[in-house]
Amino acid sequence: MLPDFFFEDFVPGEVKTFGSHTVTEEEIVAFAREFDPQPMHLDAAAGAASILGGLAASGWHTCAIMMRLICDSFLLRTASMGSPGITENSWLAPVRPGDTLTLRRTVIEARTSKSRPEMGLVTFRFELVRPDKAAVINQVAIVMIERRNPGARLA
Amino acid sequence: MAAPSAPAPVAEAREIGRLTFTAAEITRFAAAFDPQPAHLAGPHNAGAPVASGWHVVCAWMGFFVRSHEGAEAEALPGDHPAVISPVGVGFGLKDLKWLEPVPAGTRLVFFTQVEEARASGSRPGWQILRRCNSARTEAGQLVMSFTLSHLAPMVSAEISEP
Repeated sequence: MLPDFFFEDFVPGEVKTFGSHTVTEEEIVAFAREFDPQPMHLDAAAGAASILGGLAASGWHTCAIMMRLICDSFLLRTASMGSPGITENSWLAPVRPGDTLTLRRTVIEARTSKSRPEMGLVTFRFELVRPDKAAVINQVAIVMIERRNPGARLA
Repeated sequence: MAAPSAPAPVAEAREIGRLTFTAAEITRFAAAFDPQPAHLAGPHNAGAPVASGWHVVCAWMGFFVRSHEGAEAEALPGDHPAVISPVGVGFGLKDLKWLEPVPAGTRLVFFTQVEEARASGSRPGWQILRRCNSARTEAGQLVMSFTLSHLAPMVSAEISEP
């Protein structure tokens, strides 16, 4: 299956919003039980007594939710060659049951690789945004993406 | 209950756990959060998927939290921050690097090391920690690393935040 998107399709400066996900208490607790079993993520009373002021998702769960939205929004249709990593990630606000989070993608930079002319590196800013426009997470990630025209000179 | 005290001394790297990434666990995580073909078993990878980078990081967090569950907390009141939030809340991370693929069957060793610890200026009883974290193969090859900054409860003068 030919991917829809190659390196050349990611233009620096472009901002797009994609699909959303509504977080449930059940999924917050299920994730936390496995990967972040602090009582504040497992139990409403502990959450209310905690620094978060109410049951809230593990920050790692928020990262995972965002990854799923990235996949469903465009990455599964992109000629991705994987990611070397995340430059930075900030957790900005608690994620509560019932929050509907929308993915916002900004293309920060797109550069080709001299040593690997078949690919380029795209730096994205990914955010999850609530209906009140507040971002709950802000992440800068690098993705290696195949070039549609390997080695071609870019304008 | 002991009074909040000085922040923890800077510690050496500490092993927090080991985990074998099975094909079943890799695909279960991937189906929920990262359904890229490489992470799902199929003919394209001879049924041997590679773990999502987020799976590796989340497994690190599970060990980090569980490594804090100790007898120390049992004497504290049930609503003490060190009981309901033993490792606290994260501000963010920097320089998360996925350096090597983690194919099914790989066994990883997880580590954490405090780089900086200081008392919170605005929240008495809490400290701000910066720690370097990693996962290695049992042969010692570095597979994943990142730096985490977080706000953590202090327990007492005797309890350090390793």
